[in-house]
Amino acid sequence: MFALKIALRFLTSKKTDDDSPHTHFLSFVTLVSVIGVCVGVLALLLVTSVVNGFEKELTQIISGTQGDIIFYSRGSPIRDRESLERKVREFTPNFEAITGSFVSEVMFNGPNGVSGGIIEGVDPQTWGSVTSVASHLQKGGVFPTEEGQIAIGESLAEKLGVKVGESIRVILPFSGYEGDSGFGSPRVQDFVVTGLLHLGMHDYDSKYAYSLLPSVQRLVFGDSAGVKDYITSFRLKLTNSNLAPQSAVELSKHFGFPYRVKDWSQLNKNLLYAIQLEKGVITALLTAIMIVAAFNVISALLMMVYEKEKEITILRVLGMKMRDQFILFSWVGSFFGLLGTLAGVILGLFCVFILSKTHLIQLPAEIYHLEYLPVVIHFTEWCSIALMAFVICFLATVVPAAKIARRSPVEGLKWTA
Amino acid sequence: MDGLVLRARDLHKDFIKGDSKLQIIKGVSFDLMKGDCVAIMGASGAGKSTLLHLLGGLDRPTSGDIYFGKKLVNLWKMSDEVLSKFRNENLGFIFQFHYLLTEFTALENVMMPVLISGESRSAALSRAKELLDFVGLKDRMEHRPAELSGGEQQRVAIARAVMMRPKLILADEMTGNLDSENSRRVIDLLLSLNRELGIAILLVTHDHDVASRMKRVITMKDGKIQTS
Repeated sequence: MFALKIALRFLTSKKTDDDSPHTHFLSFVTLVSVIGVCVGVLALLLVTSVVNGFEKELTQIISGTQGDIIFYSRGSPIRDRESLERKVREFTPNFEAITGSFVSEVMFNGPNGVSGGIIEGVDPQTWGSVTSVASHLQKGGVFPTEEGQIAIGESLAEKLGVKVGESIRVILPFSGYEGDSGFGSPRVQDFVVTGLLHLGMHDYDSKYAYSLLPSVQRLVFGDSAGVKDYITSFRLKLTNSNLAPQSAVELSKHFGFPYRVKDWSQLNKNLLYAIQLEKGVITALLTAIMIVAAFNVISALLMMVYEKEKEITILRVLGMKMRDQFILFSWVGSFFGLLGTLAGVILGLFCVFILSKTHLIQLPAEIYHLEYLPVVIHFTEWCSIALMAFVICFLATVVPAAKIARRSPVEGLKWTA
Repeated sequence: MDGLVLRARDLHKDFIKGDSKLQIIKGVSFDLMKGDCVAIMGASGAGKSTLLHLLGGLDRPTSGDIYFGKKLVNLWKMSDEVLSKFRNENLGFIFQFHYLLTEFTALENVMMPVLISGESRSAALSRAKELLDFVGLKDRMEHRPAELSGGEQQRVAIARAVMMRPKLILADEMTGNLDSENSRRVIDLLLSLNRELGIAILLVTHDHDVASRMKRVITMKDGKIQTS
């Protein structure tokens, strides 16, 4: 504890020696080393928080739009909806809600042109309990309540050149299903736009359109009898979205071809993987920068040998052991690391607060999927980064502290005489 | 051997620089007894300060032995841990440049050897105050070194040197930076410590007046003790 006391006094005491250019122990070099650590920590914290923010926003958008799990049929549509729904409910761990829908790839035609996309016919009774799509309606719009109505993504609407209340034409290139009546002739149906959706991800806003289930069934099958129970998929909501991968695997064990189960993490898998990869690479690079910053601590400590020559010498002459002198300068170096780390964490908190409250940095949605820079703090991640920075700085002090401690007191007596 | 404080036998100290070897101390031997008060004189480069550093366990001799106390403990057979403790408990040092810690007050500087030894601050406090009173700095205890004159700084250094009740004080040109009046006062102080506490004193000086006040004078020339 004596070494700590001396270190603290060195660090906090104002120097009154007239022949020294330094009024404090915290010299310019020391300040640079502390700032280096601070900037390194700040950069790491901000980058990981932004990546976390992206991940969280995308996760919410994906699971909010698609549900936690999609159970769908490849090839022909699901015909025995009720019995299959019972089975799916039974075999899905952490089950909360389910809805059936009919999804089809179509072309939309509006005053400004044609665009490919996806139309989904939904069951209004259960749809809201599984997805949050309806809550993303822009002001003045409503979700379809009658056949022939449609809600479309805002980017799609812009591309087609339609507003709420206007009509668009939906074109199905091939009607019917292989195995039923083969590929049928194209079908065309007009829909009235009742609402524009802002789902938050450009891919969805530029492709997706929602209508009532019977409207889409009619588009696909015409007026054929007995198709009102036909759907292509079930969307499921779980009690905990994070358990979706495990639940999906469990559910898929009970169903073979033509059924397939996907959880939200498998949809946009490439995007989520890219985010994770980006996070890993950036963290590694910034950690390298952190290590470089820690080298400044070494420089600062070595500079200290010259600044505190007399003190180092006399403490040794008076009987301070090498070990205690090593501990003393380890404390000093660690203090620089701690100071830099704390400053980085405080600045990081401030920046994250500003970014999350003000959405200060706007992003082009077509490129980044999101309109602003999202930030999310993972407490354990922040603690790990702070701890890692401190440990790196501490390790950086070991070599110079040992070098200082090993100095013979006579060396100091020669140079300071 | 009861009164023996220090025994040096055939001490050599060489400095190697490149291919050349510089012999600074060439076979120095002598004994220092309890209550001894010895001045070492000699021209610059004669090896006086180097000898003092060897005897104080601050530098390692190239060859030869240094024994301390009646048990004849060899300094350079000790580990750093033991030697540091030994220096702390048995030796007091006074240098030309006072080497006070500028961040600490006079009182804290005097207490420093006790704090280094691991004893509590409270144990050191009363003795440090007593010593500062003894050296005439009762009113300057809370002052930092920069706020003291050269003579006062040296008196603080003397108080610090005797804080652990050492058996030997090693002083290197301790009056070199002082005027004659201050020089006389600090030597008076040193001699009174020698008389009253029986602390042996080994003092390196160029000053004949200072040397003449010691009980014994050793002259060094070319790394050897001159026999007269």
